[in-house]
Amino acid sequence: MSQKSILVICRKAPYGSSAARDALDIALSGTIFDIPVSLLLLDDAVLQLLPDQNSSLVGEKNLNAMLGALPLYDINQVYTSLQSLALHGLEAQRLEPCPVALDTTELHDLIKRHDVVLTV
Amino acid sequence: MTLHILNTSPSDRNTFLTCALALAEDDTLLLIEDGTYWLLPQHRSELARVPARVVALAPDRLARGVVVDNMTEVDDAGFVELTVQHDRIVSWF
Amino acid sequence: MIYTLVVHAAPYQSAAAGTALRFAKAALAAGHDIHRVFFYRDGVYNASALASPPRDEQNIPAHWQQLAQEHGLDMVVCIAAAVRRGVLDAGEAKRYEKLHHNLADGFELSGLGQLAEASLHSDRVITFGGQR
Repeated sequence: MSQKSILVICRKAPYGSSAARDALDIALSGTIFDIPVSLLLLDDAVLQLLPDQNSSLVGEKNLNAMLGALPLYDINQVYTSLQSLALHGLEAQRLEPCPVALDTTELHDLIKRHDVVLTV
Repeated sequence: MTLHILNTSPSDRNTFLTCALALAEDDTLLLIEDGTYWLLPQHRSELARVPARVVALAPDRLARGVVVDNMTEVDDAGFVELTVQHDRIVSWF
Repeated sequence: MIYTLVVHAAPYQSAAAGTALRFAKAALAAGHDIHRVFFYRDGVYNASALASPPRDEQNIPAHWQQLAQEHGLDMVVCIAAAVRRGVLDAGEAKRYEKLHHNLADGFELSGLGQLAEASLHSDRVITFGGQR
């Protein structure tokens, strides 16, 4: 098929709801059809990238470990915004996987580069 | 050109601010469901700072008793037309 | 235009399912095609045959079914999301050794790949989401 691309936007933290898992599942399903998929984690979703998650304590699979496996599915880049990092006082370099932090213009460009945007 | 759809009320400021950041100049913001409460006088000045065209979904606004005197609005058919006119749709909720 | 609608919210608790239904009707009335309606997350409850709202409230699952019947809509329910929440068709009920199944007629359980496939085949994809 055509070279369509999908941008998956998530704004939710892991464990508090299923949104982070559900967004990841959407992203991975796109790769089945060889669709280029980008993952944009905004607001609370940047908290998915905190290392040292020990989710077995709450009976959940480690979402951060799953994000670490994204390159296996040819999703090599995770995006966030400078505002999302600032919201929680985080530095991109201390997050895993290390996200590309976008300013407003870059955020607009990222959205425009994709044909389909799926929000979770 | 992107159509952004916001369905959250002004009490959820963060969703609005994030949506506003994502709006490019030639984009359109469509307020639906509780997003139409942004049309209350209390919130109009903040809404006016959005760097894009703002449109409201009339049935949702009318259902909620939000009264406006000067607002670009669409009905459900106009909602569909907006999605035709833009290249992609981003929903914020 | 060819559309795919993605519904993330259960009927009744949030407005999103009702909004999606109104959009679907308006799009069809304008002569557009809906390639697929994909129900994900709590949206799978739109496909429960057991939903029994009071008579003076809109029956959203029934409205979807009616629309599907009139326009041959392809209504796909994410199988992983549905089975977790107890929305099963006959096949899944058998697989999980449940006595009952409740997927309404006109809906079909399938994987998330159906959303990816629909994205490829549609001019516009629009998500109707709730709060969580």
